[in-house]
Amino acid sequence: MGSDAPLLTVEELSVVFHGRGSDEVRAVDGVSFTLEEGRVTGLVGESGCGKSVTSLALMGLLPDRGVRVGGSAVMRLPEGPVNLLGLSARRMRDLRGSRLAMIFQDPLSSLNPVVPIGRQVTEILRRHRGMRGSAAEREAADLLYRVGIPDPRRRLREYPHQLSGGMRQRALIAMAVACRPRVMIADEPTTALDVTIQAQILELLKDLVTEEGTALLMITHDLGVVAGLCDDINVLYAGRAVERAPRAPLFAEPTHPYTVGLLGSIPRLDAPRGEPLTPIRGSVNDNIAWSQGCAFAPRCDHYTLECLQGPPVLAPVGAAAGVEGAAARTAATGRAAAADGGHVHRCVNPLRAGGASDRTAPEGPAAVGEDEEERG
Amino acid sequence: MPTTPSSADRPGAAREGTDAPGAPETPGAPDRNTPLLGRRAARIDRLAELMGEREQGGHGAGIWRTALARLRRSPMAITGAAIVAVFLVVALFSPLLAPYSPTAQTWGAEVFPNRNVFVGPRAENWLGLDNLGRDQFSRMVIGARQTLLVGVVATLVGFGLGAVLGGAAGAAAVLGGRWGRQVDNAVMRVIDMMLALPTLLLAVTIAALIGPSLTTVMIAVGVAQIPIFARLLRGAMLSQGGRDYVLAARALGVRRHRIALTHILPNSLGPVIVQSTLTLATAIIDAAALSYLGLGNPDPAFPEWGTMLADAQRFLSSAPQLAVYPALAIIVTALGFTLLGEAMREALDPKLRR
Amino acid sequence: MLRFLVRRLLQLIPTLGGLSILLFVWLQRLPGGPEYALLPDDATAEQRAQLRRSLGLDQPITVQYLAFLRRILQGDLGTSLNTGRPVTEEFFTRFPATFELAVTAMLIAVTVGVPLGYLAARKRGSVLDFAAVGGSLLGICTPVFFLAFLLKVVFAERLGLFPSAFRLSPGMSRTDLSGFVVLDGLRTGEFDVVRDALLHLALPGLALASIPLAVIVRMTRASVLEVVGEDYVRTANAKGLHPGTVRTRHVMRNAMLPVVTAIGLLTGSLFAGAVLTESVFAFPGVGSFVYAATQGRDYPVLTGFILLIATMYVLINLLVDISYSLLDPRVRAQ
Repeated sequence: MGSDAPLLTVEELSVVFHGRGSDEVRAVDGVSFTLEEGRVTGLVGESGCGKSVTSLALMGLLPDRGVRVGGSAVMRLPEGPVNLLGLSARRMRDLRGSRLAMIFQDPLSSLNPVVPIGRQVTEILRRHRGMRGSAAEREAADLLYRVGIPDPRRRLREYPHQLSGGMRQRALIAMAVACRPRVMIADEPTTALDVTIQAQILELLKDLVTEEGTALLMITHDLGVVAGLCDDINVLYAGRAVERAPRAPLFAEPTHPYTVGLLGSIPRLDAPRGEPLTPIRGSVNDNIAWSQGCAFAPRCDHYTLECLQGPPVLAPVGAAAGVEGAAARTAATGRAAAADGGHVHRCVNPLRAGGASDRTAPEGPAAVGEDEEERG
Repeated sequence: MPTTPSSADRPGAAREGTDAPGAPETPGAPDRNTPLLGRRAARIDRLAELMGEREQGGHGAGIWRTALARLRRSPMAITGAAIVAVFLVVALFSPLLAPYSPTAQTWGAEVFPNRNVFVGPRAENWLGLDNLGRDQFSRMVIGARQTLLVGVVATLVGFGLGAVLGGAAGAAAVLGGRWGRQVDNAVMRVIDMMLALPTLLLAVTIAALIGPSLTTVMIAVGVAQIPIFARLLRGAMLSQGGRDYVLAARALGVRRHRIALTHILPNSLGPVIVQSTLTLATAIIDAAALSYLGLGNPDPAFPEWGTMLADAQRFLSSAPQLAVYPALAIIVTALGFTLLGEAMREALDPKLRR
Repeated sequence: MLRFLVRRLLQLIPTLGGLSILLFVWLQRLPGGPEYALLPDDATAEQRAQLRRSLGLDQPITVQYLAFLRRILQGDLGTSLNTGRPVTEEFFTRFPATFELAVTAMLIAVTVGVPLGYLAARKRGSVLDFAAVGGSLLGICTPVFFLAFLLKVVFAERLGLFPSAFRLSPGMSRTDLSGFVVLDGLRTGEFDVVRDALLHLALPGLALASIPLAVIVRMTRASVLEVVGEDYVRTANAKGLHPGTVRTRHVMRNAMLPVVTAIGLLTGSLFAGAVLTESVFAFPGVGSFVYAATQGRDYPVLTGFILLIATMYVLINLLVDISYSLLDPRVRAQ
């Protein structure tokens, strides 16, 4: 839409936390994706897989100390492309809220409890659009109205605790869209909400994307959200993308065992009665370092010795995938395929394409009595 | 619930059961997925090896053990513990360490306070002489024991009575139903009233009742600490009382006083124990203030740092060392207990524990 | 808001009522009984008997308590054994001095403590943080009266920078309007009096400020550390707001809530600390008067002081509650 170049190109983003006295933690380990105008890109995975850290890194909201961010995130701006990760704090502040905005997970804790909603909306208008006094107030009321808050004049004077959960999330969205940002990041925007409210909020986000042509990065663990909203999907595990595809191929023919497992662990209405759900066993903590092999192997029902011989690379589905070093060439093809919007995965021993129906057939219920994944 | 695998071979073990339901625990059971038995063992071994690497320094330790581990790395805790240790050794072995009697005015002929003649540190009197010609070092060492006594007894009084009040209120509130909440309410009103009076004033009023003595100081300072302990224990018990394990115990029909004593109380003691360490410091400082107000121990045979400091104020301009020694001793000792207590509080704070 | 205030005021009644019972029991238990507290030592047996009758000490205990309560409510706290004048009167003439001292100490504690605590939190682990935390621990561990003596000896006697005693220099003439020296001086334009009074307030104010200062530094630091980790601060940063706006509107407005409560509690203990500080600097306030009372077992003065402190405490906490409800809309909603 509009232009052929993507709005935001993230290449090999990595985030390493190195606390005092403790070991380094690679929260994000070489993640690449692109955001395009009017499209929704999903980052999917369990909590702890690096989704939120990715978004905070793009927003420049990670703490100054104890964090190392690598890679690049080039955003196309009217005045030319800039690398978000290399900007000064001052430049980044100017962009935040105006060119790229973020919607957070928990609307109650994300709003300042002692400042009226109106003030929290007008302060961003004041900051980026130079609006003052009654003009700012009118615009704030208009914004609240646009995101579906009835009687916005009254709401402006109220405090967050006086609003319902859905209302609070709408107010946060109003703040995010106040300056018509080109890129918007939504970090689990519906997790803390009731199911009916969830649908309304997702509808609102969808409308904003179609009307304004905003590029939306949707971060979620909820595959229902993904299916309803996202155009392109990146599945993350332990800081790396394990599978990437447009929506239709991902749901129709998932190939990475983790994706398959995620799909298998959601209840389906069309499933026969009494068929047990198949959770992925273990938790996101049960993994090994990517440098040693596939981090998902300890929870995988299909791992082989090859999975543990070295880091698997991102390869187009159908091509022979291998481990790093042995197949540096495949990695390059993988990246090329990613740029084309093709279907890639990071798996040495992928499931057959179209294997969604028999995804768990060889194992049966894999982990009865095991810890279920921790969500939220 | 283990979040990291407690046994490294768990993935293998899980497969054991699901792969071969007919013959569990039999390693030689036929495997449809990987025909080569050796290969399968190899990959399990490899997985175990890789996961073992990640397990070192993992969790699983109880909060006290993690807290201890954190304490050992905290310079605050180490400094505090070192000071406290030195203080305890000096206080416990003071009769052996003191070279002279603390009361003997052996060098009385050398000191004339009204003519501003004092004797500073010298070979036989390491810290010089006090205003009556007594050996200052011996008095300081013996004083450590008295100071420790005041601190410990006062803390025990505050801890004991405060824990009884707070524990009763907390237990009543958690387990006593409507009637219990009223008991809790009444007790807490009294506690609130005690809180309305500053510690020192409370101590002064108590001292006014029983006259100046070492016991007065100990009781007065201790009683003044009751409301803090009571509030702390009650608060901790209320927060524990809402936990699932208490509900579980009640559902199982465990008697209420047993729940309170064996489940809630032990889990609520952490903050109270930390507070006792801090109270030892407060008690030593408050005891000094009471001595200054003339409510302390009037008996010179038992020197106590607070009394020594209060007595020495008169000579502060002419012989500042007389006040500075006990003052420094009080400050450093109080600092030691405070550092240790604060470090313990930080180590036990779930918000700071990561 | 009005309902909130009324509710808070009603909640005070049991606290003060209970306190009066405690005081009553305390007086009963005093050596010599309650009449001792109201009569000079050398009172004759006949005087005592008459007093017992007039006080109703031959009456049932509940009647006695009600009489005691009535006297307190009428402002009759008895007569000081040391000066022979009514305790209420003594307090009234001395209170302005203590009030000025307490305000000075609190101003020092807040204006230094809050910024210092904030900086220590934002530069966590730095030399400044270490110094602030270490210094405040040292402040808590130093006996107030020793610090007062130290300040007096060093800054007044050795260096001569400040006066070492009293509220004003001897011979300083001033127009007395209310007993508040600084306020009167500002109103009448006698700025030499104001300057002199402030110099006299400096050292005792500093000594008295030591503990509140230490507590405020540590509380502010802890509170700021907690608030900067909150989601709404992240939201504020995600809006690209200027750091100054984030600091004042989002961090400090929330971080100050617990500090305000602490300030209320500390103000009560300031008046108790004044007993120690004022006596060192011979500052003619309630504190040094009470110090004399502790030396001479002047029970009516002690009783009156306890009541004074408790009333102050209650009033200050009412103020704290009101300011808290202005700062935190969630409290108002309850």
